[in-house]
Amino acid sequence: MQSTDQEIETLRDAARRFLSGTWPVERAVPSSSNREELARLWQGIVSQGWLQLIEEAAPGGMRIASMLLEELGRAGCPAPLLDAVLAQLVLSRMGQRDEQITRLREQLRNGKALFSCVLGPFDGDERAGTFQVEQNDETRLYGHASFVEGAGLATHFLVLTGWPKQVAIVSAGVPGVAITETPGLSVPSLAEIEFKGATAISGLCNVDDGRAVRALARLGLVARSLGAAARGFELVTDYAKMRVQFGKKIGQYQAIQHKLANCLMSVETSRLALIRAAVAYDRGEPDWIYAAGIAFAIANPALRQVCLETHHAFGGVSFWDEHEMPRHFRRIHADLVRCGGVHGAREDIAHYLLGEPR
Amino acid sequence: MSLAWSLKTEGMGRLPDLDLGEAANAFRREVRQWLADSWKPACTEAELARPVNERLADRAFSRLLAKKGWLGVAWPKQYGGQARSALEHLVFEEEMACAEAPIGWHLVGVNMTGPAIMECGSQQQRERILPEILKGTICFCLGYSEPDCGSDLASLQTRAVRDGNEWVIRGQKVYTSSASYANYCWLAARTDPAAEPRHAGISVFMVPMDTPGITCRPLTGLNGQRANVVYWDDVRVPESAIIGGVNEGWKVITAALAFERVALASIGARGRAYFNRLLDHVLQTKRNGKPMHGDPLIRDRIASLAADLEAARLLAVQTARLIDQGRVPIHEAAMSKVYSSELMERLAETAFDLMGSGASLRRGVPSALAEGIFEFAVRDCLHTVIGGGTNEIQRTIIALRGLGLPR
Repeated sequence: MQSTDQEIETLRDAARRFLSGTWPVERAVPSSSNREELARLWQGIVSQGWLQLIEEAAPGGMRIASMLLEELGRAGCPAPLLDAVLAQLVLSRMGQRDEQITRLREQLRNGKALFSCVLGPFDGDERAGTFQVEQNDETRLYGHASFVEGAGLATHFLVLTGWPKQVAIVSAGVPGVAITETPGLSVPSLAEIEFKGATAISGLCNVDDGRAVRALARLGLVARSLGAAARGFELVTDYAKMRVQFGKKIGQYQAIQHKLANCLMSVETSRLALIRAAVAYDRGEPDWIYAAGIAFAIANPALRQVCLETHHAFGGVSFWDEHEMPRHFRRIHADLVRCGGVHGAREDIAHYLLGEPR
Repeated sequence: MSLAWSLKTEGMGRLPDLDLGEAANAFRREVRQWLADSWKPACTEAELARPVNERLADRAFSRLLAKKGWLGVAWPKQYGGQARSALEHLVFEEEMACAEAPIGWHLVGVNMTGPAIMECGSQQQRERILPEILKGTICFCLGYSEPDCGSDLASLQTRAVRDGNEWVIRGQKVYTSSASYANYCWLAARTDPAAEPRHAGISVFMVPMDTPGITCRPLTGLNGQRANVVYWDDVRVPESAIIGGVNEGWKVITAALAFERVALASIGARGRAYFNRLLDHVLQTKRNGKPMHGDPLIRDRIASLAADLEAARLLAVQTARLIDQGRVPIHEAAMSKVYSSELMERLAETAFDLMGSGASLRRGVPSALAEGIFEFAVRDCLHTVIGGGTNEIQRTIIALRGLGLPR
């Protein structure tokens, strides 16, 4: 059943209250690199029933998920909700009668299983990973994954292997899994994972193909970036109303007014495109993957520019780590370069409209 | 000499150098060769983990340049400089920027405070301080910005009050880079609170950083740079610390702009170094089994960036040429700064678009593309837009001074 806008906003208020209490602005940066705090936060999120809310909104739930991801972005909070949403999708399309899968779904719902999703050949970035699955008495996974989010916290890796509709699920603790952190813009760091014959549960996923998972991932990345960009934009708008230079509030200068007006258009078009795509997914519209590509293609350059302009309008004030903006800058840039970036999304749109080549 | 002549030596994959005349071309070759022979960039984990400005403020490197006589490349001979042209100065700054050479120790002294002392300092100050700058022994930090005073420097609140033969300074400065290792602060303080216009009541002091009453609280920038909030609690300095006379600070602050304008003009040179790394990646990488450089979309974006970089270079050269002609390039320098700094942002963002997730991994990570240079560039380039006078202020200068639009 579709949630109304009013319901969404009520949920948003509750999520924002929860995050302001458990993930306060002043602790967000040090807490983001602290596994214990992240694990505690995740249990809090599970207790709030976020995953159940998303699941019970089936066949949709992306409208709620995107709002929650936006709030996480706004709070500078790297809780692994995006991976949980992707895992929910994939597991729900795998064998319903498979006991192991049913148990994993239950563990995901109650917070006992924490998934890190590896899109591999469906990521949109050629370097994201390639895999081989060996099936004898047991299933074993070989291969290398890059740009993996939440690897340090995960209890399970859910890997789209590239074989038609095949998914491999690997427990984080089994032999043959080597995780290497790859520090960069993303906080916590992304990781590389070597699978050297790790035992896996494998199954077929009844989605069209990995493109659907990629499209959902892109929506999640847009949602988080939108939350971060919109938060920075709120801060700089308030700042422009009170900061005085040359005897005037800087918001009285047209140079600042026009800059912020452009930012508002960018934030709003990004938000509208995100909602449009999430609703299309929730309704099961056949063109929802196209809509997700459009949302990414709109939001990607727009939100990065908002982020830059926000910094420009702040001047030197927001450049330093005692300010919120650096964490939002990292989030926006780290997220929007993923899954093939803007070129990957445009290519998917072109493929939809023009056909081959991909 | 043919207009098409260039110093290009490395074939495909590099932007060609621009012909700036025999002297500047020869000097570029000399500086480039010297850098190749004398200096290697830091690459150890420990080095890379240091705050970027501390890593790039290498006293030993400054002394090496001093021995070569290159700290005073464009300084007048009477003060121990080489009296080279602004174009040669530009070439020098460009080569240092391209090589990411660690010039932070001497940069402010050579390009800002030294020239201001030449212009406004007493004979005793010139004799005492300028030789030390040229030897690479002095590092300055700039005490300008305050919590309520950024672009509007004339509104600064830090007070200096005369007490007998001394001045007592009280106030707070923010975002002071280099304060943790500089041996002097070039401090702007209000010495006449009643002065109208406000900038008429400001004086500049040169204060040793080990003077009692100065404390620093560190800040870390998005680019890994360390800056400081600097507290001035009844800091006592002698009368001789004032540069250029009481309430003459505004003149001192603006005196050195010609040198600073050339230094700012080198922003685009760093962009060209980054661009060449991007070209390397595009030339060496396949996507979907095909060479990236064959993709029309990528070719278009590369060519577009190249055109922008050439435009930035022409604006920088124009600024230097005007200085060599004895003119004061005010709005021209502002155009150069705005254009090249915003180009740096476009360049880093484009690199992210073309390279994908691997561009977001930092230096030192084996799988980082282009050795993580764009993960740094995308965070660092904001600094070029905001620093050295924000681009909003620069655009106002362009409108007022370049176009004569009403205030």
